[in-house]
Amino acid sequence: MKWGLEIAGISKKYQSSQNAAPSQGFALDQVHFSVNPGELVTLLGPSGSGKTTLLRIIAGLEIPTTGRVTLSHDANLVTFVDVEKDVYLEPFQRNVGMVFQSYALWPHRTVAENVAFPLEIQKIGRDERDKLIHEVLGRVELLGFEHRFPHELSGGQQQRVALARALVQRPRLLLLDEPLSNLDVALRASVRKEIKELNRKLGLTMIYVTHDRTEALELSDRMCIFDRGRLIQIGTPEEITAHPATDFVRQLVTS
Amino acid sequence: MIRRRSIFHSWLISINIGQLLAIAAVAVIPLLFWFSKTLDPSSLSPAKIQPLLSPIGWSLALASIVGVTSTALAFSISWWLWRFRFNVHFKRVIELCLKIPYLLPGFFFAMGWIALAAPNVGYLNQISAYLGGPALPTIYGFGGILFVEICWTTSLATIQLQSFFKNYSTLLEDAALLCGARPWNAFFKITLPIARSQLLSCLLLTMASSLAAFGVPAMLGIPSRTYFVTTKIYQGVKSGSDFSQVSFLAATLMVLTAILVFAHDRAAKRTPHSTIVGGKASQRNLLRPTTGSRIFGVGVFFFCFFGTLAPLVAVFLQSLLVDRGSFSNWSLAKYQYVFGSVPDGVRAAQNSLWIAFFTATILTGLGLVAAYSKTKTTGFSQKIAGHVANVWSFAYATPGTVLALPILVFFQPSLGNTLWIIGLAFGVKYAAFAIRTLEPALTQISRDLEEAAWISGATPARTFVRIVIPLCIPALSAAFALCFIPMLSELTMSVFLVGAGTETLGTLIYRFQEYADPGAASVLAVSVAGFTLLLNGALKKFSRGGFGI
Repeated sequence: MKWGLEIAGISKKYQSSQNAAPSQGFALDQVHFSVNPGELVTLLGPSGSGKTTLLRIIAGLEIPTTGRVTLSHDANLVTFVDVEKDVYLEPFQRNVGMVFQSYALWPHRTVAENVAFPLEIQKIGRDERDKLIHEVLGRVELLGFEHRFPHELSGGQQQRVALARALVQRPRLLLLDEPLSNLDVALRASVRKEIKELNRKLGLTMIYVTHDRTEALELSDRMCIFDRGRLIQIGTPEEITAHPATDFVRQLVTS
Repeated sequence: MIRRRSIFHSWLISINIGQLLAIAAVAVIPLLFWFSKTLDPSSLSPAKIQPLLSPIGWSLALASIVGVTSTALAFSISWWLWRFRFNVHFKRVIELCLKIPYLLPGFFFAMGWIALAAPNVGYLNQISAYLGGPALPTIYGFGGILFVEICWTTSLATIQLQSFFKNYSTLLEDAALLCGARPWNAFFKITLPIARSQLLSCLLLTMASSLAAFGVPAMLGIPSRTYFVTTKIYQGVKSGSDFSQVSFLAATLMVLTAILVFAHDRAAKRTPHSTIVGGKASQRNLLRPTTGSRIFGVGVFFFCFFGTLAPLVAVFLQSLLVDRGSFSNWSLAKYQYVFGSVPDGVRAAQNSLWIAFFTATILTGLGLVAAYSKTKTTGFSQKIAGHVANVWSFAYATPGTVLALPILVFFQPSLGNTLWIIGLAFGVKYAAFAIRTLEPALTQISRDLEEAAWISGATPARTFVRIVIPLCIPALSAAFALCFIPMLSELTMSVFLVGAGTETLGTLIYRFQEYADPGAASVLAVSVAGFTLLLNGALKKFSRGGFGI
């Protein structure tokens, strides 16, 4: 099932002004956009521009100050959060996959146990679970690594375990928070290709946070450019490169 | 504004509020009740206060001299170990000797010194007499107490100061040496000023520890009628004398400790940080060993020998030698006697193990909830947990004597002569150990690891059970052990709280030592020390050096 996403009027104001955008005190300020089913959208911007905050709001790890996040598939509509209507789904109720920048692999669990965790929570039987783990580890080319612990893996392998754990629960949406930032340049290029391939094969809607323009230009169906909590421009890589809305966007995508 | 409502967080808040209510019920209300009943300024005439001034004076003198001497010695030893760490021979043995007293109560060392230096019968006196030498000065009295307290407290202070040197780079002194400073100039002008607040904090802590000491002053002071505040309180309670005097002494002890703890907290907050950007901290430093440093090393060796090894070996010998006067007659008869013939021996061991196990388990659980709430939650839950941690810390800082008396008076009708009353007192005193151990361990668990579990569909409660607890197992074991070990041979509070059939190892050791049989006391002390060192070794191995001494 391919799900679309709608972000409407999302703002986030932190109590501590340190985390807020300097202009208005908002980490995010009235962000609107929608993501089509199966689309891979990158959120591009410098550090502190609010892109990770938005990703965490979609995941349910942060609560916005205003706005609404909804997911839709044909006639099905799932409201993740709607501040006006006081609706909020906890992260564990959203069925969203997320790959953290740090990968967040549990050090006391093996590769197979890390990947099995979402299935254990869903109380899926052992046989079915083993089958799904085998399938997803095959997809990320980690068969044979099932019994290793995270510290016994390379950075690239850890990243793929994190991806497998996010994919195994068949999420409605996959969120990736700078997943390649800890990898070396050569590995980044190959993992980028793998992610794009997965997006095409699975038709999974993906939101990808990065501050690396090469990554954004290469991966995106569409890009959202953020600066100081505001969405400055949204469009395909070609549109944004050809017609940057501001000098800031021009510098960001061409420098 | 949407607020997250989680049953799990409500549970955390409820347990933490429960902890605050528990300490109010077990410590604060009994303390207020006791002081209100017994502390009557109008009944305290100058004639009644006059005899109390001497123990207060002795206590202040002991705390001041022990504080200053131990801090100075500990700082010198820590600096020497840190500066010449590549050139110190038997470094691991020295460090072990400095750490062992941390695990064992001070009165074990007092027992050792009684065995070594008791008039006429002490091993050292026997050896001296055999060689035709003079008798050692008596170990009973202020001098002996001072000596044993300094040896024991220096170890505690060394552990505290070594943590300062662990994060202090030799490059700071090396830079001064390269500027032309002599080694002592670098020490006095660079290291000492940087360590000033750490030294002050150490001084105040060792003073508070000596002020509240009971075991050593009881074993070495009561026989020579040298009374300190804690032993005077004990004597007052045991002889059933005027409770207003006991209460006055307890209030004085509490006020003095509170001043020291408050000053310590202020000093600890001012601790400066020395930062070295990059560099190789483990590189060999510029300072080469000199004759002075070698002489100091010999001094440290003697300190370790007389401070730790000699008294422990003496206690061990005393547990095996049938006759104190003969070194040729060895036997395990005393072990058979204590654990076979005397019903008290096995009963005290069982009681102590049960109380320590049960209380340490509960404290570890409560500590986990408080430490988790403090480090991993926000808002009200975090605030309450912060109060819980502060209250337990304050309870720990309160002298055991001051805690035990109100608990005894308040709970005597309902829990008197049971193990519960001892468990309650231990719970109040040692809860801080669990929180202090678990807090840094939980801080090290990245928030991402929990968030990844939520995203995977686990509720916060499930995440806590499946992710947080398994990651904390080494820290939980350490928290358990750090609560368990001191409870196993605790004396200061138990001496007031035990009754017939509820003896603990600490009180039985004290009873054997004072009234009947020092050999039997040594058997128990050796058993406790062996068990404690084994437990510590297992903990260190299990946590791969992360926890344990």
